Amino acid sequence: MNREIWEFLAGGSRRVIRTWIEKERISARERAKLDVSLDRLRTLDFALISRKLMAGPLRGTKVYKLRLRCENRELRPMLCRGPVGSPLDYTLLEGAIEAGDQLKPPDAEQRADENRVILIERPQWREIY
Amino acid sequence: MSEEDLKDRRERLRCDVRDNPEYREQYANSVLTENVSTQVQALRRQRGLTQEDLARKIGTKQPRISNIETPPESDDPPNWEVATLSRIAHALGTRLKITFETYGSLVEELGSVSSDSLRRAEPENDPVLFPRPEAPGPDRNAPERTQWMQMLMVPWLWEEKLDIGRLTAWLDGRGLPPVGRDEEPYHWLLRGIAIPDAKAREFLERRLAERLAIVLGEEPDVHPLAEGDAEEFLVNLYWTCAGLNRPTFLAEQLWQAYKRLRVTRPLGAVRDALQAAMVQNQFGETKPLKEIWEPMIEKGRHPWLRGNEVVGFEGILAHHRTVKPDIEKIFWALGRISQRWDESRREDFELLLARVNQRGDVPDLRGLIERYIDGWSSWAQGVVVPVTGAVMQSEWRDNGTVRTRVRIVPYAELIEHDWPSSTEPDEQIVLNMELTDLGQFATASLIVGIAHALILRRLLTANRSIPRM
Repeated sequence: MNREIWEFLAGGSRRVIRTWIEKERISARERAKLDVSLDRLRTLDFALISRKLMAGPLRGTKVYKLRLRCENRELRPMLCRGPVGSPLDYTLLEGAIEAGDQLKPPDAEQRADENRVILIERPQWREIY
Repeated sequence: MSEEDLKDRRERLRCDVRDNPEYREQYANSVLTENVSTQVQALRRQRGLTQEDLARKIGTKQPRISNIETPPESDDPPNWEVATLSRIAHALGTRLKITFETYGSLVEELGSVSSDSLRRAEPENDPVLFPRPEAPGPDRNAPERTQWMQMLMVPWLWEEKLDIGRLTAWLDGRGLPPVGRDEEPYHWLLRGIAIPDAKAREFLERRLAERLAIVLGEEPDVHPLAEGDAEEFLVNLYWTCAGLNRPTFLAEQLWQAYKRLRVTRPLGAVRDALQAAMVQNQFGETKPLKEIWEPMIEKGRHPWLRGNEVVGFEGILAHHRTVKPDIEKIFWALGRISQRWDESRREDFELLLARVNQRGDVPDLRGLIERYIDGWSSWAQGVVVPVTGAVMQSEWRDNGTVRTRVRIVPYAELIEHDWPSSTEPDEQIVLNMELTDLGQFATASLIVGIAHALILRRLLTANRSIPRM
């Protein structure tokens, strides 16, 4: 059972995760971890995805966060299931990093949830990651 | 994922692995960790084992298994011992294989690891060791539409690949025989595997349960999978589970669904269907018992499920059958119920008792009755007698044919000797059975007859009147 991983397009054109990778200077090692995690999401049943890898849904939302511990920081890309098209797919909604209990950007969860709502209204605002 | 997308990803990965040593080392380490940890989890679930079960099999503790399934985050591969992994492999009916591969193989393997690819047959189902026969045909004696459904379902379940796309469509009411809304989808799913060959049916039930477990694992209660009505989908999903007694595959996911839903507490059909599914597929030795069935018996209700003493008793009876034989718990439950109820509910109590009688898998019921019913309220003790009487005069008809005729008249002989002497059968005073098949019914009748005698003896000893028959 293969699923698609989509990426939200902010404003209908800006790929939020690719932009985030560049902006935060995500290292080769960090990107390798992210890539492997996303491969697993694509191909495994939801029940086999460890809650250590993907936590959620976050309180009051339908947003999940990936948990990727790297050397000095933890990557926390936010995503959701669906929310349009196949219910088995995932959509990456917002990039985030956690360091010292601080989320960057601090409102990442809220932004992700807002992006999810926007995507439901504008299903074309996403592309295959 | 389209071929084009996969090709693009392969090309990107090829460049990263070729040009960036840090990337390829980390990617290889992460793939190794993920593959091992996920496969242990997938195989453990495929075998219907908890982490505790697997730990017990290899002589370790549950946290060790948990540590393998969800290893601590690190850039390096986890510090697993080959010997431990090998023990796990054998405990799961598989072998451990370790090979050294090129980095380029990472590109070739992209997208190849899936829930299906991680599964391995048990030795007794290994298709190399025991080639599987062709898929059986439909039941030619079944109605035409049932045969039609079997022709859809049997080949699909016979496949190795655990595709759930068709299952979700059927649960959604799509692709079923066109009979209108009087027939619920779960009826068709259960008919679709009801073929005459018992061994093949057993296999089909198992394969259906495995697929249902995947659907349950997608958490459709949180994240609807239905194109149609999400609640109806859940009702059909849970009722299909209730129609199967496969706790190995279904119990854990149903328990997780229960834990999620008890927060939102949906009412009506979804709740009732989940409850029925959980009765048939109980998770672990104590969890539903402690959280659901025992409180229903103690309090006559449940904070969310539509439970009363009767439902709690049904749960405990099923627990006895499916999880851990525990007849003492059944008698504890009868005792608690008799204390909570008064004589006005005598008939309900008789029904509960009769349900125990209908079972044939109760060892030493006589001893248990002797041991336990002293704790029952006096009216409940008396109920044993009329229930026995009802059984004594029954015939067991199977499709109109009397297969077993049981008449038990146990009074004097049993009171005197504690056990029937059949050397001189006398219909007035001893056990008289004309049996072609001493089945569960007869055994239960016999045991209850003895209980009857024991109670009569107690009543006679106490110079009390003999209760009605």
